[in-house]
Amino acid sequence: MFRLCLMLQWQAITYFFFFGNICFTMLHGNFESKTSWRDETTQTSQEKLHKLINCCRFLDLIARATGAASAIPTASGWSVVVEHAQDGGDAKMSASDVTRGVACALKPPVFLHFGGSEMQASCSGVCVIDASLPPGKTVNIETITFKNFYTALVSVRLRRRSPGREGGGGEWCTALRDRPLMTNPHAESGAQDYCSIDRKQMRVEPDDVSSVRLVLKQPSCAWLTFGVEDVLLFPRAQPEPVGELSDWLSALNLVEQRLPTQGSLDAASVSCRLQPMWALSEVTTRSSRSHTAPVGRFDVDGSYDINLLSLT
Amino acid sequence: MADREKRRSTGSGTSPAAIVAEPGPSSKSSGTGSDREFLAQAGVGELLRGALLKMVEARPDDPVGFLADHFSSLAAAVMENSGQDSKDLRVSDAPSGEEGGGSARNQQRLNRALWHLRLAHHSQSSAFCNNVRVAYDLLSLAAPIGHTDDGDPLRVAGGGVSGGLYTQTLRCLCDEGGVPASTSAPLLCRLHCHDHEAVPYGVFHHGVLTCAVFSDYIRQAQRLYAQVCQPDEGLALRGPCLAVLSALREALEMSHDADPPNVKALRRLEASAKMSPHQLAHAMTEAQARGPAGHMDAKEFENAAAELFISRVKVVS
Repeated sequence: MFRLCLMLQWQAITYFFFFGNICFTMLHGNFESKTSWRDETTQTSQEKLHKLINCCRFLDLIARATGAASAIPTASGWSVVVEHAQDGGDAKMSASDVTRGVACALKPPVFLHFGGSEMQASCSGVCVIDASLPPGKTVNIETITFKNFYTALVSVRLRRRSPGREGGGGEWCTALRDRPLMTNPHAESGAQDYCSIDRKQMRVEPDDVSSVRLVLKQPSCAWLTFGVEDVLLFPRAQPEPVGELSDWLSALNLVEQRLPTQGSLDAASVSCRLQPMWALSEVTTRSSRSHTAPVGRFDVDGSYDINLLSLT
Repeated sequence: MADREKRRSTGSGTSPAAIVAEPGPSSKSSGTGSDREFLAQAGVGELLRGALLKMVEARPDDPVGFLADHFSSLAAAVMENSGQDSKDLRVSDAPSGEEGGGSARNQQRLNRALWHLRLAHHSQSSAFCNNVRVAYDLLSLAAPIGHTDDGDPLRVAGGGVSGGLYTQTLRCLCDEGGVPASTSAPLLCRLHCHDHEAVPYGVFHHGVLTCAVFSDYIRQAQRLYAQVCQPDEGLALRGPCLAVLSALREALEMSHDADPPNVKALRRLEASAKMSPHQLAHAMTEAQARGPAGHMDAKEFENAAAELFISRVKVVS
């Protein structure tokens, strides 16, 4: 165990040598104290912390390598509170949803830590972000987009409303498991990319989804803070009802046909003459709307006879 | 000497300092310095600059005639102001004489106001607005019945053009635009103001704009009739004419004031689709086949088109 930790640290040193003195001094401190590994009284709390970080990350690496279930304990430290954000719009999807993403409440990222004790935020390299929709509202997801910030792997879990029962939250299912965002978690590539997850890449159909949970993992101790930004859920665009447009729009499609000739009447030039007349009329109505100062006539049917005036 | 040479107008803001230039006996000395001084003293720079700006704004077809009109109107303004100043010093005794002079002065003001209004077409909105403002200010100084004793230029208290003058302006505009009096009579009924009323600027602007637009509209209607009528007969068939007019009426009825902007745009598109060549051809052939027989002459067509326009003009109240 000790040797494995040492190997890990050596690897970290070779990769991170040029990433600043801070990383190096941390690791150097660990390296120096290897002789007093068992002597906990001489170690500072910071050294203990970093040892713990390395242990957790190592554990997770092993878990990932073996393909076992994710080493995320479902126990203490997590408070999954589904807040219900206020949504002023109606339940139907609007055009702004399709272009700007569905309005959802993004909770602040919750970082996993062992033992339930409140330590530094980036403890274990695992972080969870919940995006929940207003109560009662569900969405058929087309895409999830976000901007990566040094997250190596992402998993997507969906809470779908089961078709049978209306009440209750629904069941959680995994739509995407450990999709790599960075080719090498210790390096820079892919660290700040814009990513999108399409519905075709998901294992299950993301329909009737009420909550989305993104599980972010960053096993490398190079990046202590990581996350994703600007998470947007895009719904499936429904075809807009064409309605009253269709009848005259479809009539316009016939323009390509040859105009029926009718003697000497030229419809095109008649139309050219008619349209300015319409425009001139519109000018008048527009002007009458803008200049609406009244002259101030108070006569009743043209006469100012005092008997016709009333108090109201 | 300077007082005699320069007469400043106190009333209207349009006429700059008018100069009655009299070359002094000693100022004909040689040298560019004195020439420049003389020009500066005479204020010629301002004068010419004003004239050129007006010309650029109006872009007349006849520049010389335009400049001649401009300077003559300036001179008339100066003379009127000077005449007014001298009149204030007199005690009034003959009201009829004054009224006669007043009406002549009104006529002069009217002519000048009309000249200003003719400078820019109503489609050039900013130039047109400026000219309307100038004309309004000119007409606001119309001579009332009496005069004040303190010697100030006579002005309508509280501003505004008198209703009679306003109606006369509109009538002249319609006549100059080539609209026959019978056609423009219903429009004037909607827009006119009584003599005892003081017309504010908004109403004046609206009335003038409507008359200008109406004259354009009638010209377009006349050309449209020329398009629709049979070349050999000189008269148009009733069916197609009615079809064309009904297309225009439907397009005009499409827009309502209370619509939100996107619905308004939609309605405009729909209205213009009604007037597309295809729709019109369809309507005209149908009308020709099935519509009422007979001919429609130009006057009737013009009246019908005018009625469509006038029905959308708001009555002044």
